Amino acid sequence: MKYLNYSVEDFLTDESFINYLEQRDEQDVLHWEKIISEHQQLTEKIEEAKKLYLLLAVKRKATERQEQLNRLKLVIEGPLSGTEDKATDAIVVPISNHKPKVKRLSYLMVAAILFAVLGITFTYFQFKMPDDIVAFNATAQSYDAIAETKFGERRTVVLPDGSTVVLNGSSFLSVAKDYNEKNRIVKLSGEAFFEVAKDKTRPFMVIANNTITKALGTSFKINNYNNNDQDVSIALATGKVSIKEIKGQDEVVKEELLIPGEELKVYSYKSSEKVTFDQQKLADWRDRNITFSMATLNEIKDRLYEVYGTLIITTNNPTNKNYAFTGSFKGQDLKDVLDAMSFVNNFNYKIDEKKVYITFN
Amino acid sequence: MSSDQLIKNWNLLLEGDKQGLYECFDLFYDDLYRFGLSMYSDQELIKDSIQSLFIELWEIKDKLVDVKNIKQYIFTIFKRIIYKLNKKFSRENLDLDRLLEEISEDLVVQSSYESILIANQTEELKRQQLQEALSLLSPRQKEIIQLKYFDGKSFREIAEITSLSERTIYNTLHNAIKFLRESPYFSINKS
Repeated sequence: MKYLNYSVEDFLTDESFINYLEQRDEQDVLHWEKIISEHQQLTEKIEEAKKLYLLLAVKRKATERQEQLNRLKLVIEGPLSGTEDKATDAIVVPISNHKPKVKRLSYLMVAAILFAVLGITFTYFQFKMPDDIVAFNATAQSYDAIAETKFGERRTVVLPDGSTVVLNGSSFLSVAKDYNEKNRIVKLSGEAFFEVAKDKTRPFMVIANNTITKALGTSFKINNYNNNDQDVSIALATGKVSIKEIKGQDEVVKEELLIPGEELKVYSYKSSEKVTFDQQKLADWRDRNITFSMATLNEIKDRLYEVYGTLIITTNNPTNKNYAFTGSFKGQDLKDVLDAMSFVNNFNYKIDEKKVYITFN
Repeated sequence: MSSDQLIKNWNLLLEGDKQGLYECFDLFYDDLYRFGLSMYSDQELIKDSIQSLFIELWEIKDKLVDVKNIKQYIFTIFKRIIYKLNKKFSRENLDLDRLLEEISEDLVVQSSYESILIANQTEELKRQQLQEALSLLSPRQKEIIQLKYFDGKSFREIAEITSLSERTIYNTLHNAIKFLRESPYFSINKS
């Protein structure tokens, strides 16, 4: 196959490849999706080509657009319920009360009967669709926005069934309107740690990008922050989960089972991969435990990114190559950590909505 | 973006269908972003402005029936919003020179492609490196990169515009990318 010898330049001058990146031609899109899934050794070059393309085309990542669209939906769909109470750290989401009230007959009744008939017809045709796929395709109206965190903010949400969600900064969680009826479905954008209350009759499902993670009673972390090449990652701490990767609306391209200590990384431009992770790191993430021992600047940046989901941009970096920092923090806000570090390391910092800018003196 | 799709979703929006609003958001996002970059290089400002624009469109949807040229209308409001937001946020003086005065159908060619590319960088160092890398390309190479990736033209269309053969265009582009990849900007920021 000619593509195996392709360089980045070759990809970027291949008209069909560009059509695929522009999502312009369905045939080309299918063609390249197939090539990419069948030839993993091309991934690195294709990723680089894609990156260069986004830069030269001045295009935004699809995940960023989705994130911004979610932000808009949050405003349009109405105010958040239950989040006004900022005094407490944990918020409890009440089970919504859907009991219809019959006030007037005539007109309303006719409408109701009509809808019922339509509903039955609809249900009939939907019969073969599994619940998770239906939920996956449900519009935003079928979900209630329940919590959104600001940059650097962390919040614990207790769901009606007793499951808890630790929502990391710049994240957004919504819950299906029929949560806890037949099943328990939530949607996540950002990063969160789920501790699912045991209930075998009502599966707990998290929809994040093109994945559905199904659990009965377990704990796991999901990350689909957009500023990462990796689109979704699911790391299992305890119990068992199954993860479906969906293509388009309802095609299940892969289903994976995880055991504790395993993480599934799902990418938009190549096949997903299963890796093992350090459980201690996940516990550190939960507790915001950070230990630096002779850490280099890059290690510090990476660690803060892992724990706070924050991009750190440094300027005027110290020229001393042996720059090293030692110190540890526990459960502290990003600001406290930066305050302490800036004092020792002689830098100034500025927090700007989504990023931290550090300038060394 | 196809105009059929735009008109369809615009009409949905006018009828008060949220889905129409969201589709319009998707259709316009990249172009608005580029346009924003041609005014200010502040990415967060641009994102906030796009949000405000669509919230405003939703609020005034009843009054939009008379809009003839949808694209032009959207970009005109967007320009006003981004200008106002920037005024509100910016501590320094307004960079009036960079504010564009007239908005026509071709939305993005107003500020040069090169300056939009550079404005798209968040770090000062990267800006300098990118500027240096681009300054080493010939005008022809830059033109073809813009036509191919930014304007999304096919090789055949580029051949018609530049009166070059498709083979020459292909070679020029291939060399230009190779050159860019070897420059400090790309080799350092590769990871």
